Amino acid sequence: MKHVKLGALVLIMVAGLMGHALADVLIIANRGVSVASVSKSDLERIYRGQLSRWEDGSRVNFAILRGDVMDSFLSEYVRMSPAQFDQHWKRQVFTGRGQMPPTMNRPADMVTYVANTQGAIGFVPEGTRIDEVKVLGITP
Amino acid sequence: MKSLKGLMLGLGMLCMGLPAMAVEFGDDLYGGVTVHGFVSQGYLLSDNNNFFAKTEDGSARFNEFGVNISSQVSDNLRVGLQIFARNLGEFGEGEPEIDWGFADYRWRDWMGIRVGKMKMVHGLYNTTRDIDMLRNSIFLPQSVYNEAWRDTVSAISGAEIYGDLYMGNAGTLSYQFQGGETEFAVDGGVVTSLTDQSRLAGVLSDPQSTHTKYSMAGGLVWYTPINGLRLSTTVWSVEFDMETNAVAEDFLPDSGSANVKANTVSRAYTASLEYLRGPFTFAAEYMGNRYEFTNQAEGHSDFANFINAAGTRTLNTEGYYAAMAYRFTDWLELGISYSEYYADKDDRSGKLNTIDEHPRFPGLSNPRKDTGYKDHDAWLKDIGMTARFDLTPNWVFKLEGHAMNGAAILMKDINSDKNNNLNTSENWFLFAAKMTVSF
Repeated sequence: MKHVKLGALVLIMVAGLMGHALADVLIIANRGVSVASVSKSDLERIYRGQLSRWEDGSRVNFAILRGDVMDSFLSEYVRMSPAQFDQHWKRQVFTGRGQMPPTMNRPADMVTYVANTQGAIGFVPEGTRIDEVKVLGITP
Repeated sequence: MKSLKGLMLGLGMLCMGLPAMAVEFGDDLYGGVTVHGFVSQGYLLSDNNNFFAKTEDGSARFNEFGVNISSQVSDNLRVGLQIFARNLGEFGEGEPEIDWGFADYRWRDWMGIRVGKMKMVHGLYNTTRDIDMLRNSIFLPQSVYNEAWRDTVSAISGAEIYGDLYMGNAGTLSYQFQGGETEFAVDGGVVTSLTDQSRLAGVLSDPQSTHTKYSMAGGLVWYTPINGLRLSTTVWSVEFDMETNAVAEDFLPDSGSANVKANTVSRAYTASLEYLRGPFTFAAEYMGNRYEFTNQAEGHSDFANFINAAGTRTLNTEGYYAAMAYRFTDWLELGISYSEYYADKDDRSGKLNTIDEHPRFPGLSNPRKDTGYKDHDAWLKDIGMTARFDLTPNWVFKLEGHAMNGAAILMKDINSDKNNNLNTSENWFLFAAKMTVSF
């Protein structure tokens, strides 16, 4: 019984941590983007450069926001560390197979970029003012 | 050389305060131009044997420079070009050339086409081997990434079809198929190796020109559902002719000279695995390469008939390695690797180098033994250790040591004695240091 209680406690702690991580980041998109939600696997493929179109055929333009929120986002949705992400895109750049995604340093800059760029998607920390963009839901 | 070192230092100091990665002209979604680049300078030192440069004396003829521009022209079309120059002892000579330059039309995620000069698919890392900062080690394992073949398999001029096939829970399968031409320079590593080979057969070869007949390469990469695990297989098939003036060695039964067209076909394949897990990186690859050599001599002299009677000869090489790296901090990553290469898969112990009698002409002495070859010239076993220091995100410094056993792949012209006989040591050590600055 003691082990069962301990296991339940660990599970609750892990679930709490996961919930916290998910709640940290908001996925935002340009209001012209036709979808209301995006799957975790599609997010991963977008940020790895393997998915470049929305469902309506228009181009996906994604950006990154440096800082702690990038660590959380990459870990949760792209399954890469920031160092691995940078290496991945440098490989694309120096072999001519892709371009570095636009990099923002402040959440407000990310919101402005997404609001003003057709087909744009990005991420910001929860609590950021997001009047000009829409928030995408995440499906498993 | 001084100016390059000055440039390195200057760029390094600049990078200490620069988090930005690129120079951009225009911030429009389309039509803007992005510029990236890198400069590397290295130093090589060995206690015995010269590793592609005069490393026994220490050599700084080990540097690379690249700058690229690219532009997203429209939703589907992107264009780009990279100028690259390198020195590694006798290779490269620092001459700037187009490393890659192509138009990329990505019709769908599952299919696009590139036309121009592209990095050639081979193993996991051939497309990025020119860019030091993209890996832990200074040298990629020579068992799969032979420096002598580097210039030839660096790029392919022609067309490429590529795409990413999403397979749901099974992961993503990426493919690339390339066709066109690769370059075989008369003074390049492949031709130099072939010249060494013909010398062993009793023919002194003086290459005059080369002509590529075709080059094809293809690869599949499976990004598995296991996070960080990718499996890959690649193949290449190339064929080229070399026009050469051939002279018979004294020991051959038929003396004389002839103009010879030497045809070479190379078919290589690799099987690769890479696993990234947090700070841990593991990679292992296997490569096999099958050569077919067919020589056609002009005229009907005894020497020409001797060459033409040989028909087509085959040679199989093989190599494999395993490498690990662990990133301890943002600025420190340590790596270790073990690699084995065999110049003749059917003679891994180098017996053909040391027997007394010629393997194909009974009664004649063995030219390999007579010209200084030893059993250890048939293999190269390499234990490598690397310390990578990321001084800033754009400024990398590496130290590397290789404990080597064997001398296969080494260039004969810089590893011979005064009598032009091969003179290598079995056990030797190579030290390498390299600094790279990128933007």
